[in-house]
Amino acid sequence: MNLFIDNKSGAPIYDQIYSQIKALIISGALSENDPLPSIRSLAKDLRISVVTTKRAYDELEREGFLYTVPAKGCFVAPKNTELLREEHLKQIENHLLEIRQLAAACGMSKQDIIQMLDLLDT
Amino acid sequence: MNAIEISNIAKKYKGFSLGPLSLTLPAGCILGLIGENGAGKTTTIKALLGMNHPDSGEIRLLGQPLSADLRNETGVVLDEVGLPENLRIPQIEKIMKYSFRNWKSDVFAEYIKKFNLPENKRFRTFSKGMKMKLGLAIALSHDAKLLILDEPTAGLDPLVREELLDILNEFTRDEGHAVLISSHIVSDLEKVCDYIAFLHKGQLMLCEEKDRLLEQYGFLQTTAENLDALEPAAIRGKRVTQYGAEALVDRKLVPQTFDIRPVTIEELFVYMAKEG
Amino acid sequence: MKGLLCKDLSGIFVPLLVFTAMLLAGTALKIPYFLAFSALMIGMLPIDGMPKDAVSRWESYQLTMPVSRFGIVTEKYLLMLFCTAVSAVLLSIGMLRFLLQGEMSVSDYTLWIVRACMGGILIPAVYFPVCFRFGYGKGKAVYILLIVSFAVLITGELAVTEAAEAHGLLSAKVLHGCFPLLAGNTAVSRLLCMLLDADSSQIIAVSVSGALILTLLSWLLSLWGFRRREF
Repeated sequence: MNLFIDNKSGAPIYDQIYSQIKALIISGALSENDPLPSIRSLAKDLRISVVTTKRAYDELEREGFLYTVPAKGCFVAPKNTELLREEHLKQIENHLLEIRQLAAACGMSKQDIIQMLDLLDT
Repeated sequence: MNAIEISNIAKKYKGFSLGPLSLTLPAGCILGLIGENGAGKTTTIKALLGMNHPDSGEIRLLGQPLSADLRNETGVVLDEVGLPENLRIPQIEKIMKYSFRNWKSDVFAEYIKKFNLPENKRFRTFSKGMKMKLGLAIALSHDAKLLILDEPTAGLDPLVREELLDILNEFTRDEGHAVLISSHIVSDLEKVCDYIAFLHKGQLMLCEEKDRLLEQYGFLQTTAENLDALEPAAIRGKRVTQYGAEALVDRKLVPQTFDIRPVTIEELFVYMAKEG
Repeated sequence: MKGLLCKDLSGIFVPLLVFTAMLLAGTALKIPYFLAFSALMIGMLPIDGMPKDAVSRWESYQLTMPVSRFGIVTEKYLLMLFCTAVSAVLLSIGMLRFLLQGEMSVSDYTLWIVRACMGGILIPAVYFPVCFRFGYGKGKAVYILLIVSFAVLITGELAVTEAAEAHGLLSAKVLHGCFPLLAGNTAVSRLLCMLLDADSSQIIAVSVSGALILTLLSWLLSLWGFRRREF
């Protein structure tokens, strides 16, 4: 399992762990019921705070990406495609809200935004 | 269980007063105590060891009130390792063996080898780094659950400092272990701590998860006018020159259009101390 | 406490050997000065290491170890009693020659041993509380003060001893060629006994019990002082 944590990027560390593990699970690099490293050993190996690693794991568990077996550890949860789709829709909605805000700040209309999207596709 | 619980301790000296101060270190974590010289770090640590008597407040280590017996489970390295000058390592080990309940000779021998300390030279011939390493070897060789380190890296070269941070990292693989380390070399602490506490002029400015601090605050460079336009609550410290302004800001209170770069713990401390 | 004893005992080991040799030389060469001086020096060994402990910062370092302040103080007093006992035993052996050769009566012999070992109790008994309350280093000033005051007492002691001799309390032979010893307490008690017309066994009893009471008081004072000490 490859995880790359960048201390200098400014992205919150818990978010980096959370996103990268989530990506590995979604992409299939981590299969169902694969064991994940314990919170503590992951933290110590990556030289990051245990508290932060726990936060990332807690978030992943809350969203159904992993489950914990007491005294055994954390494991990748079976993929729930419906949940994933919902996840992604939520994210797209957030991004769109942001785009609308930014556009308003520089006086762009909905048409301008769609034009920009077309330009990106070319 | 909390490894350290300090509740409202206060101590008054001539010209300096500490506290009231409350601090908690959960088991399994490393807490970095940062402060300028004379901020009260050593006073706080000495209170934990019963070396001074706070005027008020309560301290609990490993869930128990302070006692000499508790020191079987704490490994301590103060900035001066006060071992008898004319003794050699084997003689020092003998003293420790009779003093600590759970002394582990084999573990000690391994550390002596790892740190390359000479067994047949007297303590007074050791360099500062070697003295600290011996102090650390002693602290790690009696099954301690809590490590208390006061300025252990002052005067040490970067390689040794890195070795020490490695050891602390390994020490806390066990969730029953905890570390309190004080330093004014903030960059060292930033690498290894879970929690950071700022001590300034005897007062605790904050005690927070390190990563949350780094998420919450950022560094902004912009014009003085832009800075003034921001909510005052967003600015935790600033510096204005004729070429512009820079400020420590709370990310949540600053519009996202601004370009905020990550801040280091050191910058955080300096700006907060100046402001406070 | 065991660790502290280990440290202190190994620290006094070499000086102890040196003074023992000196004492035995005194017996062999019939130099009472060597005997008395060695006994006194052995009795004072507990004090010997303390200024060094101040310099090496052992004073505060030991508090990071699992030993209580009570233990730290009591260990020094145990050491003091040990050294005094050793000096008394060695001196008894060393002076046996004088006793067996009829140069001393049994009461004089006992009196001498008590006198010679008194310094090993008195000086630490005054020095320790100062050290524990104010620092092992500060105690040094008191140490010097003690030496000076005992020197004064010696002179006074000489006068008393001669008076005692005149009253037939001590055989003359032992006095000749001897360096008078620090035993101010004994001189005072002997003066008292002389005035009350007591004999030497009572002097010894008063001196020894006085010394033990002083040790007890000193220990309590040290405990109180060290408990209040801050680092």
